[in-house]
Amino acid sequence: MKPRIRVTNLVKCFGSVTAVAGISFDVGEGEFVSLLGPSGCGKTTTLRCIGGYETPSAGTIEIRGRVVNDVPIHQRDIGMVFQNYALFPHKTVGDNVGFALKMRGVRKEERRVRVAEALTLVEMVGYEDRYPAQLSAGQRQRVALARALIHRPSVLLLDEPLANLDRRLRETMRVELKLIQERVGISTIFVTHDQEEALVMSDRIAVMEGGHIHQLGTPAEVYNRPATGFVATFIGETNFLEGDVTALEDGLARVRVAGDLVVIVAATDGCRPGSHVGISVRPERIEIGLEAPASASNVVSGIVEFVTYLGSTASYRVLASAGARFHVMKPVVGERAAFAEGDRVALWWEPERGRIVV
Amino acid sequence: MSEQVASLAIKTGARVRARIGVAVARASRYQRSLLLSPVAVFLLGFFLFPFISLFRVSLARNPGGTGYGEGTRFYVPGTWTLDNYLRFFSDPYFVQMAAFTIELGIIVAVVTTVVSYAVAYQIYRAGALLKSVLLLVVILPKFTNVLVLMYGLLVVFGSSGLVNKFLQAVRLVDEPIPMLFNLFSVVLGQTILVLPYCVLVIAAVLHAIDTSLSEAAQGLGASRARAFWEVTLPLSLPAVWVSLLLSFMWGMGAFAAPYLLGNPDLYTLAVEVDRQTNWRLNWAMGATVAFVLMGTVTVLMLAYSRMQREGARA
Repeated sequence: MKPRIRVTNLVKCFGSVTAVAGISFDVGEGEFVSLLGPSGCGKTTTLRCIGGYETPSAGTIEIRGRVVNDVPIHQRDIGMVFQNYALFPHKTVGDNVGFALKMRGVRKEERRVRVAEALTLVEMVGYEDRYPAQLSAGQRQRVALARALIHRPSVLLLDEPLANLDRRLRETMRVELKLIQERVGISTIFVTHDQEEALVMSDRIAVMEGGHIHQLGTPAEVYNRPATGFVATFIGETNFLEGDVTALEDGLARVRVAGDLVVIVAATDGCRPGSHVGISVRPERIEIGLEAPASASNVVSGIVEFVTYLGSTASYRVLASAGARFHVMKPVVGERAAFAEGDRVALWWEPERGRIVV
Repeated sequence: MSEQVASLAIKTGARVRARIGVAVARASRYQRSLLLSPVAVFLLGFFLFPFISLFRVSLARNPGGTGYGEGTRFYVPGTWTLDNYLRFFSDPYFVQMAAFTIELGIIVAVVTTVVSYAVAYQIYRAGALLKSVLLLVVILPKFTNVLVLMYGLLVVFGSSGLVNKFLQAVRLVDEPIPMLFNLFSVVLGQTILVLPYCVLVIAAVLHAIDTSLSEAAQGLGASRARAFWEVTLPLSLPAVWVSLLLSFMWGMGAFAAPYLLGNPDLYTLAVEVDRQTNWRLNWAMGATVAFVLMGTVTVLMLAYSRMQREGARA
């Protein structure tokens, strides 16, 4: 089956600045793909190229198997939600939502019916005659979504649509947005700099930086098997260690990190004795206790420097005797964090819990 | 860039106003009126007093005669009469001139606003460099004297001027087209005088419109032209109303353009004020024409703003 959208070797330069440096990815039928990265990583430029708002410097964009590089915006059959929603301030909610139908010559009566349907989808029934200025930010967001979906476009493009909402509303809306997307079954590209949003909503995430895609995979893949150090640090928190491989045996690599601290980790294809590697270990994958069990590997002893109590979890910053600092996160059992500042503790983790990244 | 400057100016203005507000609130009533006195003195001395004197002159008998020679008087002081106004409204010469003045105001308003919108839209769409160049070109005429500007048009649009030479060179016409001393040249001259203000007003409003609105419209299936018609134009209408009003007022008050580029059939009330006052030395009639002109503009302006308010409500 052909993908709904295929981006091949997309390059976009603004003068001497390369915003997108040759990226490729597909979006399948009904799939929700996030472009995730810090500002300036090229994610919005990529989205704007797909929408037709920017002309690619090189590469091709296909929608439903048709190359659309030279197709003007209004013939691309897209639905786009802008960061500021871009509702027409001089038109009512009904006219805003029905705009795409009006442009397609749909008659007024049918328009009214379909506007009502679209408003039902986003739970905004009865707001047809209001103006955007009379709505709250969350309501505007819903109207913008209804407007982008009413003409059943080939693809839904979302440019940080949740960025302007307060935290609580944002958390509600991302679940709702995802539910609506699933109900409609529309292929969606979602641009965000918020890793949590991307993890919650996406079928697949493209982690971008400097105009490149570092990794494209499911949320679990990019979280558990980060391809690069950037992905490891950008998505979730991690302990990032660097060192030289001293030995390889049984698919495990021994890596000498600072001083006499040696870490055992699953080897990857590229690593040879002597090669310099980075290792990522997630804070919740590290065990913490007063003493490590005898069978444990990767045992590090240290002193708890700082405790952050978050109610359901507690995170500990541990200064290891080897000099490195570790960040460990554990669920809180009972009322208080298990360890206090100044406690002598041991940390340990199984080799497969760490991951070599480049 | 210009938006940042504008918003900075607004913020600074608000801060200054806030500070003045605090100072004014602390001041006594007496001190407050003292603060207003420079403005009051200026308005009273240089506007209200001459205004009333002039109105008084329009109600005086005119001295008759040629107005030249020994013992000449420009009006007869101490007399009261409505004769000047009665004469104005009963003499077809004045009535037709008033009608033409309104007509010219309307033509200038429409032409200026249409051209200004086109220019302002190009400025809005242009890149940073072209934008500065276009703005400079628009404002440039304001750096020169009105007379220089008008005589410049004489050179360019004359029978052997640049435009006619060009038209003949490309064989569009055989004989030079008369482009001077007719309605065309009067409207052209007046439009050039008013254009910069209208362009700036419209460009400022266009720049305040979020570009993502037009992008959203195109994403929803509107061609660029349709997006303009559905979104950009309606949102810029307030600027169009202001531009129409500005250029209509200026068009009705036209003096230099009809006088230098027109002919006596194209003279406006403003020209007549000058002719009555400086040539016929009939100050009473000159003042009367001036007040009729002002009254007409005021009435039409009020009607216009009322129309607009009702349009906004509908």
